[in-house]
Amino acid sequence: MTKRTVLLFLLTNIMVAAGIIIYVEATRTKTYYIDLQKVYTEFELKTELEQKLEAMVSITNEQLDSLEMQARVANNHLQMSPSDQNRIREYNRVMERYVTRSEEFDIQKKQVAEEYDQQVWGQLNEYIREYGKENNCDFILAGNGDGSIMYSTDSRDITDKMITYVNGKYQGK
Amino acid sequence: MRKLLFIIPVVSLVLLSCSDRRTLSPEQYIAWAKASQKELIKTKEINGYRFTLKFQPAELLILKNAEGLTSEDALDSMKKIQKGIVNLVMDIGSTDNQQSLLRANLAVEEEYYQRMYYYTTDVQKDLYLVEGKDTLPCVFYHFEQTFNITPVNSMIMEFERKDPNAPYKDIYFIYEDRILNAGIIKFQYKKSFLNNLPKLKIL
Repeated sequence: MTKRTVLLFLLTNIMVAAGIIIYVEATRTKTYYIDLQKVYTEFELKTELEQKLEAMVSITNEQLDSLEMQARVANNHLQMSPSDQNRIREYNRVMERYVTRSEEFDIQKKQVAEEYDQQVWGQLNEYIREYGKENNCDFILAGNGDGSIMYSTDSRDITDKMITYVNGKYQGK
Repeated sequence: MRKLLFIIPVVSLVLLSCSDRRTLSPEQYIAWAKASQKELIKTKEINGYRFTLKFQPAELLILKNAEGLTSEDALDSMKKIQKGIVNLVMDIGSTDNQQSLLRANLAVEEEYYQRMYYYTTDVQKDLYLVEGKDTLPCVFYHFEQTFNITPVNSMIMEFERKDPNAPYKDIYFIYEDRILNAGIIKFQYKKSFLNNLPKLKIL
């Protein structure tokens, strides 16, 4: 074998190896996973909306406390003269108002909580999709210990990166 | 010594060219604004709506609104009016570019009127800027009704800074949406960008 043949052989081998590496890299499926529960819990919009909901609940609780106090006073008056029709009517009126408002607040709280949850998922889904696009991911799987991902190496876990990314996106950075 | 003689003029030239770049002619300023769209314009897509926020430097606004601006005095007096004002425009439309904010994803026709009322009269209190520890309310608001001729509606906003002479801190624009179920929408403008906006000069 001449020196030139050896060189040509080596060069061909290198080119074939490079081709294989490029092909494997290009066709490799980029699959990552996130702990969705953790991402959701640490998403700043969720925290901010929870605070808004707490503030709303606090105001409505104050109003309910006030109605409850009125009901107690009416009840005390009724205990003093149980057969007084005016006091019975007053007690019933206050109690009815208390029960109605209490039910209304419960429904309102549930509706607002659902609305906020939709808003959190709306933004979170969008930002995760953007992350996937920006980082050329083929799949981003969501695992949260419910058996949806039974095993993966830690190198495929992008939970912390995702938390930083979605919070940065939410802050408009 | 020879090296020093070479280095000093080169460094001076570089510094001079840098400082010249910060003072731009009207044509250069428009070109700079076009080239800086990534920093000036921010976009988010949420729930089928696209929110596009445009930061409008006072000088760009002056150039757009004052054709034939010929003297430095006229420019200075217009700058004084704009001093301390942060001008922002937010366009909202559907992500498919088919319908405007008022028409997109309507469940019932009544929603159209609710949106119209909210965006023309009620939204201003849900818009604010945060600069450092200061929360700045929206002091001027105008809603551009386009009657679905264009696929977006624009909200023109002005915010007044607490201290117009202080260097900018990072600015967060916040819109607490109550109509589109999009949640709290935030956009950030970095102080490094805001404190290095070029100056306009009528040459």
